[in-house]
Amino acid sequence: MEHITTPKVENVKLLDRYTNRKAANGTLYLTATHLIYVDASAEVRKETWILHHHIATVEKLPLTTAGYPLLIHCKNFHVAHFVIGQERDCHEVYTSLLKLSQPVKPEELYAFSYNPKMSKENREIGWKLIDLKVDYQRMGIPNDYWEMTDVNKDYEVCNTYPPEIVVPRAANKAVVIGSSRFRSRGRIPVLSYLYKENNAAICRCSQPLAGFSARCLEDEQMLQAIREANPGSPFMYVVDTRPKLNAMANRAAGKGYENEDNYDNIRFKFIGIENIHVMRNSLQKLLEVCETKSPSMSDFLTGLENSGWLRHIKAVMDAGVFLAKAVKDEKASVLVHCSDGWDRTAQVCSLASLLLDPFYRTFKGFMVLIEKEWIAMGHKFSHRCGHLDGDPKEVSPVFTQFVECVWQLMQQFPCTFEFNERFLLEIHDHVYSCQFGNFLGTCHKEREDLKIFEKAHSLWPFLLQKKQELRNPLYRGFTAYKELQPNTLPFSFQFWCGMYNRFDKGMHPKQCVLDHLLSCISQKMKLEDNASELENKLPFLDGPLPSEACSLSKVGRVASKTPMLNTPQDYEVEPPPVLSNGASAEDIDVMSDVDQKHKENLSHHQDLHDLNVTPLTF
Amino acid sequence: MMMYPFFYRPESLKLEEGWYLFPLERYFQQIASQVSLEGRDLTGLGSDSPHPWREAPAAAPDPTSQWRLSDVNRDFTACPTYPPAVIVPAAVDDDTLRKAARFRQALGRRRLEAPPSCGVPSVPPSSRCSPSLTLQAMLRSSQPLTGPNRKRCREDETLLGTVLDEGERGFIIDTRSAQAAKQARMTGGGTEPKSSYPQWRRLHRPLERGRPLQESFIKLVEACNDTSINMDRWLSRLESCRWLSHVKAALSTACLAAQCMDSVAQTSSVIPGSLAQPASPPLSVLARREEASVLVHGAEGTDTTLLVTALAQVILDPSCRTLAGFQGLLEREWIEVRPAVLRGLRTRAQLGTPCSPSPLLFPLGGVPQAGHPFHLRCARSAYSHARLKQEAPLFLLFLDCVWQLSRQFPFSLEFGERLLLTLFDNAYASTYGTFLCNNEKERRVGREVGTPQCRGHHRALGADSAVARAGAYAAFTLPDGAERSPPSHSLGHAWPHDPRQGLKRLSTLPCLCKVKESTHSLWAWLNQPGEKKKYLNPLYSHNALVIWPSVEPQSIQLWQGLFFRWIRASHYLDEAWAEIQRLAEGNDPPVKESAGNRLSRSLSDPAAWTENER
Repeated sequence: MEHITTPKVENVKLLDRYTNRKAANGTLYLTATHLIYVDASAEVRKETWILHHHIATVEKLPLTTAGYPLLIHCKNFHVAHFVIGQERDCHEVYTSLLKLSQPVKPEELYAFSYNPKMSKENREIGWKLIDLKVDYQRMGIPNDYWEMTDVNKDYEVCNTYPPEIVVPRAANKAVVIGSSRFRSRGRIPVLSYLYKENNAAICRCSQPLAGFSARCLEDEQMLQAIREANPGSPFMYVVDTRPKLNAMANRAAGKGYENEDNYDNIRFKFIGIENIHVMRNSLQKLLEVCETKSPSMSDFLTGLENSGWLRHIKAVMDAGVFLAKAVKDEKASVLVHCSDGWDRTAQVCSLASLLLDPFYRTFKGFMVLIEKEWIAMGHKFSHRCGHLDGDPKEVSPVFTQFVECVWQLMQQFPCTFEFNERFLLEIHDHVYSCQFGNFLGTCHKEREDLKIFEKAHSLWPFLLQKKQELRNPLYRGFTAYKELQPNTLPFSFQFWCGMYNRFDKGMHPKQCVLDHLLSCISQKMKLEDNASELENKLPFLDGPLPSEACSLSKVGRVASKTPMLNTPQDYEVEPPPVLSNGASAEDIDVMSDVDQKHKENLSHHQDLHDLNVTPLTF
Repeated sequence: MMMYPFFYRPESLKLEEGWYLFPLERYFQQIASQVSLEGRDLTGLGSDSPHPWREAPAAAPDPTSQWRLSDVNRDFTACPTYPPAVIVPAAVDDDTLRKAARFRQALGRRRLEAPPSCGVPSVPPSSRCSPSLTLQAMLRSSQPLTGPNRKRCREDETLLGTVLDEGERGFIIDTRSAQAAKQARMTGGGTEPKSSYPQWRRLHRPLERGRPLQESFIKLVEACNDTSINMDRWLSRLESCRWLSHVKAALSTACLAAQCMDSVAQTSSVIPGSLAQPASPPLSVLARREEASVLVHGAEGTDTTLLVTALAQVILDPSCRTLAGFQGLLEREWIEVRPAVLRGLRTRAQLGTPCSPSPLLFPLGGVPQAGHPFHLRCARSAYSHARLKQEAPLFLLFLDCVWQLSRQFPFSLEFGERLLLTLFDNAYASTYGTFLCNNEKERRVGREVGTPQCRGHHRALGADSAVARAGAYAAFTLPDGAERSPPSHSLGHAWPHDPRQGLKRLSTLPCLCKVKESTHSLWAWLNQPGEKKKYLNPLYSHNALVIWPSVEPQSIQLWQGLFFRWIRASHYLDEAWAEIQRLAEGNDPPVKESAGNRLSRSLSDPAAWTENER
């Protein structure tokens, strides 16, 4: 609060990035957690809320005739362009936002002040919703080959791993400890996913401290134990997800990659996924393309190509597909690492699990997957998302890429995921929002130190509450599909407008199939409930049925497809001359659409209610 | 003409079915009745017949005071490329039209005898309607024959002048660049000079056609079929083939044309109430609107012009977005060559009022207009090794643009992607006669062997072209498509004898087509109940408003369903489609009613209660 000097500024304009329409005029408020803009010019009250934690950059642009522009870029790709009348106001909002958006101490994060009025018990239940042990049990662990060990319970082996890890039974404590000395940051090979069907496993670790010639007997034994835990295959893959050049450069620093001669029966393979710095720059370029005002088709496609973004997405996907194929088709276990084993490794392992196991394509399973491969295994969310004021070179859209890979899969397999695109966007939002405790800190130990589990809430129960709007109406159930084999030809990767231009509603399809299908489903459920209710009453009334038209048939056509309004955009750089008059905001359709639907649902409900009532009064 | 459609005789169809679905006479009646209905709308009575095809009111007011049906072209002596019956404004006599016509380019006949030409702008009866019913028009024509000497034509100027009221402005959208239009003067064409047409403002929106468009298509298909390329190479080839740029340009220009005529979107978005109550428009809207007539032309007026006018109609007019309406649109814009100078005709009352928010576009007009020369443009698809000069995928570009619309407005088109794919297939190789030949006369009488134009393209139009089409088709669609695309396998026995024999025969005989008598119409096939179901969009619900698409590059996608039809696995997507269908249909009354309905009947009907009581 102490950062807010001007809590309210009036006569602030909000510019629309893509049209020459008249800017909205309204009031800007600063609260402890949000920037709120209330559009006074619209007939329907329209509010824009921006969470301080979502703000990536705030810029003051040169003075224009309209006033002092303030450009805000958000981590969820929202871009807001305000124009403030007074320079003093503009400056004060600017400095406040700079401080508010970059807290220095973890205690300042939203999660510690967020209070959804939930009892202590419920919060604890919320944290227990996802239990990784249950997932390992689901894979059949412990079994003859694998066991869950508490060797890391005091974080002695590896302080970025969780206390409980799954290692081969054959690897005793000495092997584990020995191997941890030979792996960067002690991140030893542990089980990520066991494919029950053929005992092939996906394991993950960090790079070995091999240098040019170093060896480690325990590490070699560890790999042998992993290989032998899968008796069906005489060999195992060791996959380094870095480009070969990067891996070789690491040798000079005493790190590097496994020497095939030192390990028995391994097949070593590089998969060239670029490092966090390349990814950060690539996203930066992509966003510049997305923000270009009225680009030509060539500008856009050239920009898309030059950003390299889809190339990187494809690289991650290719790696995931390679793993899934190795496990399923070649029945071979795979050990995956990159440098520290918490960025590319997390992407690739979680993607492979998603391809292999339909459970991970359900709500619950996807939560488990993120908890397991990302949160528990120490993906440094705090650094990668820039939660706190810190080194900007640590920031990288690694998780965003994973989320996009999942979206690309959804495009190819529309019926295989229980959740829809909005679920992905929700999760992505909350990774940056710091509203919930799940993504704070960098690893399990740090979250314990921060007392996250006592002081903050878990995201997952909150998302499960919204399940109805986040579900995929086309989902055909858990058993309909098993492994997925996506097409990875370049054309199968599309630009994700819903993510990177998510707040530019004008670019999206003007009618939403998802909303319509969701309303179909909820309507059907309502009617079925109603039917069964009526069915219960039937015995009282049984008799010949009249064939007259019934009142229910009216109800059948409740339209979620109310005619939508949309306005033409400028179809040429030079605005068409006739149309200089009365332009207005189009955003009202969002609000009024929802209102309308709500009303319709109400009236629909009423109809049914009436029906219910009639026999009773009779 | 010894092509397969002349032998194809499916049992379920009768020969003449489907050819005369949209007879001009009935259309004439509809236009008249629509105009009169709008008049009533102003007084507060809503019009609830947005569908002009089926409901031709019996008691249509006498339209003959404003328009007349002319059979001036009944034996094709006046102009071989027009249909025999045309609607002309009563105010304009044939002589004026003929004179004006000489000033517009007739396709391929510049130096032959002067027929009433391809595109004469003609007069809407604005002065005849009630004062509040001034008519809007979307006109379509070919370029004026200004020539190097800057020729003028008083009749043409008068015609264009009478389209507009005093003080009104109109827009001419030239689908060529300003420079290209200027250069066209050297070859006898040109564009309307400002000084001669003071009320018209000219806008140049260059659209690619002909060879460059064909090259773009070929390059795109090559890139799509190259499965070895990496991501960067793919994106750069997608960029350099420029296909998506053409899609964007075509959509933009169509929107511009539509926008010039319509300001519904702007005014109606001011009144959020109109969403909830489409039946009671605030009349004040009318005063605030300005709209204009639009004339669209390129050079011949048979390619990009059609693309723009047809797309603009899909955007503006809900009746063009139904299955029947879309067929009608294709029939009158692309195929049959309706009398089409006045492409659209609408009243002020209609434009702004959500009460009859279907902005009707009447293909009214004086002189008929050439359709799209399918036979020349759609011969070999993307595999034209022979480098045919006339080959160009304009129709495909149109279908692609409609697909983009259907993606952005998934509930607003009554038909689905499958129809667009079927139309694409049939335009290139068909068992039906609908897309045969280049114009109406060829369809009726056949080609005159000996005219310069015919000589030039005789081979391309004859039997060998059919073989080429079949080959091209098969190549583009790959063998496993046999089941989905009847033409590719049925063409296998298209020839009762050696195709070369047919070719020989053809070159010695004048080809008499009689397409409508001897082949089946594609529409007859599509409109069979069982067939029709496949093409319907389960999510369709009537949307009376204008659909303005986004033309930002982020909103335009490559049409994977077409270009990767045989490359990507469609299994999962088909399942999704079936699922959508299931959900949408489950939402229809019959299913939902099943249990609840039966019960509620017994519960809500007093008669039933008494029955029970007893």
